[in-house]
Formats: sequence, C-alpha cells, structure tokens
Amino acid sequence: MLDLALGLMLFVSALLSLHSKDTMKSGVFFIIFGFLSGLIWVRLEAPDVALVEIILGSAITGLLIFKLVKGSKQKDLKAFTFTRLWAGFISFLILIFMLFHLTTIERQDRIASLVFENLHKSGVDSAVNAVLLNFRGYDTLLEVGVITLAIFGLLSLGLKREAYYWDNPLLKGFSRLLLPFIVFFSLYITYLGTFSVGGAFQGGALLAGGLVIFALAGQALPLKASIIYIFMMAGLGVFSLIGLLYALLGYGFLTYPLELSTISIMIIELSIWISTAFLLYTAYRGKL
Amino acid sequence: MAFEILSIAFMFIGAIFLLAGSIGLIRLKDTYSRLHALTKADVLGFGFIVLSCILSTDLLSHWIKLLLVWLLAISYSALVGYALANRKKRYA
Amino acid sequence: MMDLVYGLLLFLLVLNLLLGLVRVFRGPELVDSMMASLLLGTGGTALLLAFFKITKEAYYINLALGFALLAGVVGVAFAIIILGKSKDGI
Repeated sequence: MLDLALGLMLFVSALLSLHSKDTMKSGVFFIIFGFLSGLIWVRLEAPDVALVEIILGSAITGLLIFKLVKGSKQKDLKAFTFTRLWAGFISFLILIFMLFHLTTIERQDRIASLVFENLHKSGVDSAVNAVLLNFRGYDTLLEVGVITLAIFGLLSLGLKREAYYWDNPLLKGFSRLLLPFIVFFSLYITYLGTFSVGGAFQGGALLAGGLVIFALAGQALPLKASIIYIFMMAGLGVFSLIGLLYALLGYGFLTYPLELSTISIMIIELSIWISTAFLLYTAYRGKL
Repeated sequence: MAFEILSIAFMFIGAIFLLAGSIGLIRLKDTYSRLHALTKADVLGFGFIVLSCILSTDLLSHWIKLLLVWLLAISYSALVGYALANRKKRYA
Repeated sequence: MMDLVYGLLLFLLVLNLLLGLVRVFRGPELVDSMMASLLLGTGGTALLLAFFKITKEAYYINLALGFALLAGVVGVAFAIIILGKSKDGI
C-alpha cells in the first residue's frame, strides 16, 4: 500500500517534469522525483543508493538546475518531435528488455554470494565498499577520472559566469556555523563507509552542499586557486599512485596485499572525499 | 511499556500537525499565509516526531544525532521562510 | 494491533506527501511549488524517522541527518538564485 502510493507519486512527478510548460517548474518536479526515488530505494533496502540519490540526485542536481535555468536566455525549451520520438523509442526498448528479464529471472547462484564469501579478504566490512574500491577498483578509478575530466573541460570553456549571492548577516552567520558541522558529518559518513552505510562519494557531495551555502552568502573560501586545483586532482592522483605503487612492488595493478588493504582503502576514500567535494563545488560555480 | 505508548502517541500528534501544515498549504489563499502554515505547523509536528524517536531509543549517539536533526530542521525552516518572503517582496 | 497502528501512522505521513504534491502541481506561482517541495522534504525526513522507530535500524538516522542537512540548502538557493537578480563579484 505504502509502496504503491510512493511509486505512483514517483510516476506522476516524472510525467509532470516532462510535460510542464515552464522549464523552472519541470526543474522543481525533477527535484521531487529525486527524493521520492530516494525514499523508494530506502523501501527496497538499498540505503547506500538512497543516500546517493537524496544527496546528489535531489540537492546538488537541484542547485545546478537552478543556475542553468536562470542563466539560459530561452525560457521555454521545446524539444523537437523527432528527438522526443527517438528518446521514447529507446526507453521503450529498455522497458521491453527489463520486462523480459523480470519474467525470465530464476533463483540461482548470483555474484552476490561470491562477494560475501570473499568479504574477509577485502579489508573492509561493508559489501558495497568492498566491491567498489577493492574488487572492481579499476572501474571506480576510471569513474573518478571521468568526473575530473568533465569538470576540467567545464573550466576550460572559460565562459563568463554570473555569481548569485545575498549579502545578509543572518545567512552569513548561519553558513559559518553550519560549515564545521557539515565537514564533521561528511567525514563521519566517509568513515562509516568502511563498515556500514556511507562512502566517499556521498560524504564529498554533502561537503559540496555546505560549500555552496557558504558561497551563497557572498563569501569566498580562504584558499588559493592552486590549493583548490590540488584538492580537485587528489582523488585521481592518489588512487592511481597507490595502484602503480602496488604494481611496482609486484602485487599487480590495484591489487592490495591483505594486511595493507584497510589502510590503503582508507587513504583512497579520504582523497576521493576531498576531490568529490571540490569538483562538485567548482561545477556549481563554473569557475575557480 | 509506558514509554512505548507515550512515544507512539507523540508520533501520532506529530503526524497530525504535519497534516495540518499541508492542509494549510492547500487551503490558504496567498503565498505569505501559505509560508506561515509551512514554517510553523510543520516544525511543531517534526519536533514531536523527533521526541517520539528519542523516547524509543536508549543510545546516547542516537540522541545526539536526533537532536542535531531537530536543530537543523528548525534553523533551516526559519532561514528558508525569511529568505523566500524577503526575496519575493523585494524582487517579484 | 501494532501493525494496524504503524500502518495508520505511515498512511498519515504518506497522505502528507500526497497533499504537498497537489500544491506543487496547482501552485499559481513558482514560489508556491518550491514551498510545497520543501514540505515534501520535511515529510520525507519524518517518514525516515518513522521507519527508524518501526525497524530500529541505525542507518535511518544517518539518512535523515543527510536529508536534513541539505533539504534547506535547496530552498535558500532557490530564493537567492531564482528570485534575486544577478550580480558580479564572487
């Protein structure tokens, strides 16, 4: 009953976000779609995905959408009929594929049991993080690389970006009070990733939200541009350095020895945390 | 047992206040009065729900986190209400 | 007995979300839609806390704390970016 109501609301908000006349209103509906799907992930007992969806899918994407809509000249974006038909066709194919998969699925040994068998070899207690940073570490390394390259591409466009801020004492005081809490809690989430729900990407996105509200009050971070560059590159740099180090020592690329795996995963998580935060913050501002 | 009953009662009170807030959001006529319904009734209901959760657990770490959630909710509510009303009056 | 009580509770909280969605849809101005989505933020946090009370799983509190930390940022950003005028500077 509860799940049915949530699913129906998700469907309605997705439909309205596609079909409303005003671009801004579809943005608001998209934010609502984000956190309703977060609630649905909670109901499906996937709290890690729910945390990502709540923090990134609704809050950070919402901030980016606001800036995009305010900056764009054209107020009502009309997609061409051909584009819409093409998108509908692709989605229909995916739907058919999923339905086919859903009806033919069988209970059998899947890869999950393999993960739980080998969990003690990974150095962390959380299955999600073991898969993400140890078993398929190569994949995660490339994902971090993609984010970093995307943000540097954005910076290299060199467009003139407008800044929006409100010079208000209440907002200033509040953001200064909030920032330490957010830094502490995002570190806590990152640390929690090694044995429970949480992780470096979630913590970094949370910190990015705190930095954005700091910037909205009209304050700049007391950091030089070069330090921000170093923070942005930290994830990719540390991750590939550790991988290369183990390759040179003879273990193989990104293959941690058992006794060192916990500490190396911790270092990688910290670097991904700081670089995700500063990358998303730079993506919001559009400049350094 | 008494704590359990009290906790469930608080959660019902909180849910009813939240519902009152959203009924106010539907029924009231203009933006400022809707903002009033949103930022007062809602926060009261949320406080009751946090109180009910505090009664139902006995770990210190949970208490600290729940209190933090409550403090964040009330301060954000005040800040958002002020910001929306002020900016709307000045620019729209 | 307990199932019925908790079911009624969850029903009330989800009804709250539904009413908020109605205001987002009807809102004559953009500000009304955004306010209703903030109501959905509070209601969603309340729903997470209710799940915590029912199942006693500790991670729901972390989820609720993450939700509470960033729900207001969207509202403040809306007020400043959309309702305000752009300025040069920082």
